[in-house]
Amino acid sequence: MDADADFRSHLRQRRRLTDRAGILRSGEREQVEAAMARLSWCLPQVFVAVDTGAMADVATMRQYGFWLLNRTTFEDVPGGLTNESGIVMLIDPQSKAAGMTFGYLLDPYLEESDTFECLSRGHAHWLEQRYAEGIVKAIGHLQATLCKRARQARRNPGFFQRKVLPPAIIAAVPRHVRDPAQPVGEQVKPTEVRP
Amino acid sequence: MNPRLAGIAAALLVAGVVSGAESPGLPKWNEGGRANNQVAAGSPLTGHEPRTTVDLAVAATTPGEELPEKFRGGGADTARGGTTEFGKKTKTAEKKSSILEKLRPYSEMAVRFRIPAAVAAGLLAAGWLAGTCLRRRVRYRLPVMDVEPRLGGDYAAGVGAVISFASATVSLASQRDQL
Repeated sequence: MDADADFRSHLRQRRRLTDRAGILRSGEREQVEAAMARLSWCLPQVFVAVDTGAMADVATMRQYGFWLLNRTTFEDVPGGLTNESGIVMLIDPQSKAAGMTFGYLLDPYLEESDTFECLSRGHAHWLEQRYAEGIVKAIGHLQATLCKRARQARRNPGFFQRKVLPPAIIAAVPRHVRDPAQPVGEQVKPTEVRP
Repeated sequence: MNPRLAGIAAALLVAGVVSGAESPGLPKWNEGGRANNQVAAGSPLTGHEPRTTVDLAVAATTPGEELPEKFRGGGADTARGGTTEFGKKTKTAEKKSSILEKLRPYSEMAVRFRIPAAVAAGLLAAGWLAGTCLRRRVRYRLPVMDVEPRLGGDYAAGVGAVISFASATVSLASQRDQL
């Protein structure tokens, strides 16, 4: 994997909140950790990790998030959850960019637009370099979105199941779907068999 | 003095006294030349429309005569336009009183049911508060579904948004995925 070579210098084992850039002041770390703990309490299967740091030496933020979830182990994950149920939020104060990546468990429930919505909640705060407030807002919105999806999944799990079906199964036409070539109202007569 | 002129003057004097006694609504002939002229031109007795306060007073005191439409209910100030406001005030007060009359049954009902209404409002508020507290204490579980690994990732496929917060003037949507 090329990303392994790119991100070799980064820690393979880390805590969920890693402030490499040093943008969180005293007292703000607690706020962010409290927001992360709230989400983990409300959704016990999910955890959030926040990583801040300059990524000028790395290819893109998206690649870094992908590598982080697949190669890193988080020490303080509650309940021994795997990275499959993790959400990583990345903030680069140098290049002024933020990103969010999530694991396979959240694939049916989150879309890229949802993560964009979450990040946009913190955008105004990050513009004014109030990073902790932005992170808390983004995590709060993420929690609300996931809670809503969990309620929807309880009512209609098939909707989310269909989202993660393999393409081959999705392409298969169900039996009850009418053939578009056949005109409406015309029924296929059984073939006569003469002895 | 010429005796002939003196006789004419005496005759006029006598005629004036007699006419004043017959029509008490008319002003006295010696009140002033202008008033006399106006009365002569606009008196109800002459059939013309009254123009001044004197005419109105004359019209009000004259039995059997009716004021024109624009002066009715206004009194002496109508001609100056002051009574329109008074009329409006009167109408507003009447409207208010009619609205109050219409609302009176409801106000009586409100007074009658104030205690049950307060109890119901309190119950609703308590229910809303309890619902909010319960909702905060609810834990959610996401059904686990099998997802095929993609891009060789064991735990994630790198799906997610990236935004830039470099500029406050550029819109957020245009700063999406600029990296």
